[in-house]
Amino acid sequence: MSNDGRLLPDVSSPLTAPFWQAARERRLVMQHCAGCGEIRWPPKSLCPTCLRAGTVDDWKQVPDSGTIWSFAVYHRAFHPSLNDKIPYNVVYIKLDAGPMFITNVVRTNDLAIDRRVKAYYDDVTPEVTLVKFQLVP
Amino acid sequence: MSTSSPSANVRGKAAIVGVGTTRQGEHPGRSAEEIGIEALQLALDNAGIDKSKIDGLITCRTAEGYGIDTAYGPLLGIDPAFSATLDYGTCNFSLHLAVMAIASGMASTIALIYGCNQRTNRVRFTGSVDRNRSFVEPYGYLHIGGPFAMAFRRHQHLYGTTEEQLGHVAVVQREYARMNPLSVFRDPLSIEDYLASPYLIAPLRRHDITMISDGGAALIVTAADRAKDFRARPIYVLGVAEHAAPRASELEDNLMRPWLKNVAERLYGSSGIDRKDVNALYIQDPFSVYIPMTLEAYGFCAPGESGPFLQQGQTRLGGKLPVNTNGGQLSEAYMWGWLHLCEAVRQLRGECGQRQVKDAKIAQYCSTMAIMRGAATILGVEP
Repeated sequence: MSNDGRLLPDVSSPLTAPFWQAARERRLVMQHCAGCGEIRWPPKSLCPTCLRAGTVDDWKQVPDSGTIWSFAVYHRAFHPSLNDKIPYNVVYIKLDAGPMFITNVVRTNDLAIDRRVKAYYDDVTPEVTLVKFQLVP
Repeated sequence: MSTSSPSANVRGKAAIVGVGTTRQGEHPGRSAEEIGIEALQLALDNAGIDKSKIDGLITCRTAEGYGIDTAYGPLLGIDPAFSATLDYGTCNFSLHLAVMAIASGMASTIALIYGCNQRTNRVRFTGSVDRNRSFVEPYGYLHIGGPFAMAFRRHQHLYGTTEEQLGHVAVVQREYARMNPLSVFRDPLSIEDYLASPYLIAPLRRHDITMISDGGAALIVTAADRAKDFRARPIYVLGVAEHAAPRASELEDNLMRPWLKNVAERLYGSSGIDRKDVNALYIQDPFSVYIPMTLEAYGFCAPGESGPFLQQGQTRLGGKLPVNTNGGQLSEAYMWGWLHLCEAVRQLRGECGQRQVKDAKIAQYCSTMAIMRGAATILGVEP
């Protein structure tokens, strides 16, 4: 959480810092197991398929596009920082790379399951860039 | 390796011989353990025994950490041969552990207890949906209702299920709750009222989501061959099954809980009971969405058929399959699903008055812990 009360990610954790660094550079990266090649998301310290320990070199760029699996529209703010955001969407995306990804889809009131989306990198503070998405026209 | 499907044969091993439930709602100034022990006293009275007959204790830890067996033990004043605490809730997992302990001979008569004061303590469902907080909270993915709003929208997309069809869950359960003296919510609720109420997390409304309450519930479980030594009519455990799916959280369709079919397969395979034999069904329902999705997962409805089934009133008293005759978590009380099992026992004993399912002989209870563990039990009036 930030000093101004917003819900912000911990971008300093060694496990996930490479993700946030890449987001600032407008790239989507995920861990790829050096042993079996499996992509793991959310980030983990080892590969749950072959149990090989992860390293920082596991982070590799993946296509930042996908398809909407489902979405919810929040009409109640469950945190004070969201009072002026409601109603807002939370969208579950099937990335083209495989993993499922929780996000917001920006600049639309026209969400639908199976719509194609691509990343929209939102610089919410100088340190934090959130990977949001937008509809592909 | 493919998933093996073990089948537990527990038929004829254990019976529930005591049930106790406290007043539900608010218990200001009382600890979780005090409330749980009140429920246990009621269950002991119901069974016609005193606490000296208990040689096993299985307690349920509340989400905030109360209610472990070592907290209950000193207040209860017992030193049982077997004692454990589960933090999975719903009572299904606790009952299964009791059946295992009895079948193995580690204990013969076991008390299951859950007490909570979460309403008074202002515990909320509104925290981060996922333990990977940094990847969900910044998007406002708060409140465990969020994933189930998504699951229902997906169900709508796949099968054309409507909000009105879903609304019949809350409406039917309110009808039952109005016939249940234990219920917290008893105001009339029509489908028009439901549809006119605002969204909380669309497509879910307030009536689709349980409200946290204080209360206690306890059951006494014993070996089937001792069951007739107790005062109450014994209700026998005919089948149990579980499935744990922590890794499934990364599956594309995990919010639909596809692994529940493993529980169903094991349950009917081992008990000798078929779903068509079930007279009353209980489904843990923190969200209304659990009802249609569980009806389909266990094969009571074909995929996509649960919406029409609900709209036709098939889950009401007199319908094909009465569901949650207590009013469920949506209208009776939250209690992490423990009251469903208490109601199932009372229905099979024929104690439910206005809401009694006629000639109920077999009941089934289905529950899940979060989105990573499922359990089900079949109970019957004969061993």
